[in-house]
Order: sequence, then structure tokens, then C-alpha cells
Amino acid sequence: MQRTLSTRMLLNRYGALFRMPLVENLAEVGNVVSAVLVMTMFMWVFAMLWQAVFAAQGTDLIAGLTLKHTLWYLLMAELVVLSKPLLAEEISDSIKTGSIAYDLMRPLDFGLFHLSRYAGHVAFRACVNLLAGGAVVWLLVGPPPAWQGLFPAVLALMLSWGLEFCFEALIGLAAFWTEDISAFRWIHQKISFILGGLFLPLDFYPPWLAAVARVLPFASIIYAPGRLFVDPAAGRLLSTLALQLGWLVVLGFAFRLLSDRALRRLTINGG
Amino acid sequence: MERKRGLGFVGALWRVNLLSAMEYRVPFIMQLGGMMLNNVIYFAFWVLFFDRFEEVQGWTLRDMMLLFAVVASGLGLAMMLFGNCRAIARIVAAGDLDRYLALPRPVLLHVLASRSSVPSMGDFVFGLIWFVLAGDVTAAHALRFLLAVVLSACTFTASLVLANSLVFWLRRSELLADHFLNAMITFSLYPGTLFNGAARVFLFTVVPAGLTGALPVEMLRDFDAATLGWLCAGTAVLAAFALLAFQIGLRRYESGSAIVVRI
Repeated sequence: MQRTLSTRMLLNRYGALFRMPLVENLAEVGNVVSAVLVMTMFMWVFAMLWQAVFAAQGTDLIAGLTLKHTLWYLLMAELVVLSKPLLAEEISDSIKTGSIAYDLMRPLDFGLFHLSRYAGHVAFRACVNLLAGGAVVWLLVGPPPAWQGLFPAVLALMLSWGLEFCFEALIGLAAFWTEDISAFRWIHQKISFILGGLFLPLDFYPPWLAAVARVLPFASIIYAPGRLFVDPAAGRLLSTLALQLGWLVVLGFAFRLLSDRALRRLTINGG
Repeated sequence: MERKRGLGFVGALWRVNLLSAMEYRVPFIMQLGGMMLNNVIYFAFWVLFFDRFEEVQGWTLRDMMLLFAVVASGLGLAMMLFGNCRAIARIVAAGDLDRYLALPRPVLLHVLASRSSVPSMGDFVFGLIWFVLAGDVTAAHALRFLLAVVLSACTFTASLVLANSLVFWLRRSELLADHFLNAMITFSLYPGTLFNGAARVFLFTVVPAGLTGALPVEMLRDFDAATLGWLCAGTAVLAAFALLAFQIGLRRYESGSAIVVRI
């Protein structure tokens, strides 16, 4: 009885942390409008670029993808990137200002505390971005090529945000050792963009680079959900989820290890 | 005499900004080098793209290198010299303009030059290196490049002052100003020939990214007086609008009555 109650209490606590960003985002109408504008802008620019490319190539199919596949893929890739909050910055700021002391005083696990809030932000932003970006892409090239890709893509998206959470948290925790983490953030972001296939599906890369990039975690984060969405073959689904889960175990373990070491370094003065 | 004193004042601000940035050597070098590396990795997208497609609407990899060189150096120069151009909305909303109003100096110039962004120095240097790597480094071409960078920097500064000045009417427009900067950078870094008709008009008016990237590169590729004339005229009009918007907006500014001590 005691254990059931305690589990329920914990779920209530983390549930409240998940709901909090939803309410915060709903209260900030400006954020919603900006998200819609940014997503619309990106998809519009991509449409211009890829329409020009397909027209110049004089073909409907490049590396097995049509213009419709490419734009819906790019929408899912942008969805991953534009829906995540700036967790690394948040953790780094809390370390620099010392407010991490308040976070640690709460009767909550440090990782789960941030994961719950992160998930709340992602859930809200992903819905807004999907509606805005989806409307633009639908207007430009029509409906998604395969509706049955939606469920596998949602599964892959959740795992990809889990992976991204680990990366962001690891970078944020680096503030325990370095004064400034912005260089790490930029470099991680750009490597993810390139090796994850944010602007260009990995299928368009030179074969050797595509082969290397596909097994790295960046592709599991950005490339995997979009590629599953436009081509939800059973074999692809299984290999994608297996790779994502494998990386999640590795990065989750790395996060736990680093956060334990980092929090041991923490010295709080005053009261 | 007055102008000379004004220049001396701005020069002193820049010197202080640079010295305070360099006070913390390791973060300074990390931010500068990190931004350069960040740009190099970002450019890898276009290397992969042109490896696959060779050309898009008349643009090649070399043109993209020139585009990145002009935009990075232009934006870097603007943020190095007038780093607060992206923060005016935040300064006004927080009532922090008071500290500038109390001093006998031109308010806008004082606000703009009070901050230099360290990562932007990395952008500026990256642009110079990229220009050299793009080839054709003759004296005339280098001169045209420097002119393109200065005009691009003026356009970035003026359009950001204009977008940030909306805060005088909208009260909270920080997010809008941030997204405007993102839109400027995004649209600046794509081949200009992708955008036609209404899109092109949009990129020379509402979000004038055409003046910070595509048009300067057109001037570099095939120099002619008409393109330079359009570029100068566009930049001058934007600067005039920015100045006007800030001056009119300033009359609407109400003090936050915040007591702040600057040391």
C-alpha cells in the first residue's frame, strides 16, 4: 500500500512538472505565433530550394525520393529540432547562477525533473509546429505519401527527443567544468544538422558518408523519424527503433554517470 | 569638432568592449573559435549539396562561399561594432534606456555601441577566410568585398534597429525582434535566384535579406555601377527609416524609474 501510494505521488509530481510547460506555453501567445511563423518560413524556403533542384534535374525521383517525400521528410526533421527547448542553456544557467541548489532541494530526481519539463515543452511545441508546417507542406505538395507512417514516426520521434534530451543535458552539465558552454552547443547543433540530415536527407549524401552517418546517434535523432514517416517499411521500423534504443541506453548511462560526478562537485555556500 | 568628439566617444566604447571581452581569455577564445568552427560545419551542408547537384539556378559552390563570406563578415561587423542593435527591444522593455538618456551623447549611437558580441568576431574572421578560400583575391575584388561587407553590416544594423523599434508601439516585441534576426540570417544564406516575384519583393522590403546577401554577391560576381547604386540606395533608405523610427519611438518612451548604478 505504502509503495503504491508513493509511486502514485511520484507520478503526480512528475505529471505536474510535465503539465507546467504546457500551461506556460499556452499563456504566451507570442511564442505560438512565432513558432508558426518560423516553421512556415523554413518550409517555404525549403520548398523553393527543392522545387528548383527537382526542376533542374528534370526528374521526379532523386535517390528514391520525390519532391513530396523530400518536403514531408524535411518537415519531420525540422519538427525534431524546432520543438525542443534550450535545456543545455537552462542547466548551464542554473549552475552559473547557483539556482541549481533549489532544484536539488526538491524531493525529485535531477534527471527526471528536467525530463518531465522537457517533455512538456516538446509536446506543446511539436503540436503547434506540426500543424503549422504540415499545413504549408500540404498546400505546396499535397498530403503525406503514406499515412501508415504516422504511428511509427511518432514512436521514433519520442525516442529521438529522448536522445536529444541526453545530449542537451550532457552539454549543460559541462558548465560544472567550463565557464561557458556556448561553443559546445553550437558545435553539437551543427554536427547534428549535418550528420543528422536536417537540410538534406542522408539518401542524397555520398554513399560512404551516408553509411557512417546512419549508424551515429545524430541520424537516430533527425533522420530516422522523417524517413520512417515517408517510407514506413517494417524492416526499416525495426532497425530504426533498435538503433534508437541502443543509443538511448548508451547516452542515458553517460548522462547518469556525468550527473552523479557533477553533483558530487557541487559546493553550496550560505543559506 | 562635435563629430570628432563623437567618433572619439564611440572609439572609446569599442575599446572598452574589446578589453572587457578579452579579460576572460579562455571563454573569449572558445567563443571566437567555436563560432568559426560552427560556421565551417554549417557550410558542410552546401559542400554536400553541390557535390550532389553541382548548380542550382546558376549558383555554384564558389558563389555560396562568397555569400557566406559576405553575410558572416557583414553580420559579424554589425554585431562587433553595434552589438546592441539586436537588444534594443529588450533594453526598452526593461526600462534600461534611462541610463543612456541621462548622458549628453546621441542616444541611439550610445546604445548601439555599448555592446560588442565576442562570437561575432568569429563570424567576421570566418568571412574573411572564406573570401580568400573562394579564390580570385585581387586588389579590386578585395576592395569590392570590403564594400559589400560594410554595406551588409549597415543593412543588418539598420533593419534590426527598425524591427526592435517596434517595441515603442507594441510594448513587448522582443520575441518578434529575435525571429526577425533569424529570418534575416536564414534568407540571407540561400541563393538569391531561388526567390522570384512576390518572394523577391518580400526579401527586399519586409525582411531585407536580399540586401545583406544576394545583392552584394551579385555585385561581387559581375560588378556594375547600377547594382552598387541599388545596394547603396537600399541601405540608405533603410538607415533613414531606422533612424526615424527610433527617434519617433523615443518620444513615446516612458521611464521605468529603475535606479541602476553602472560601474
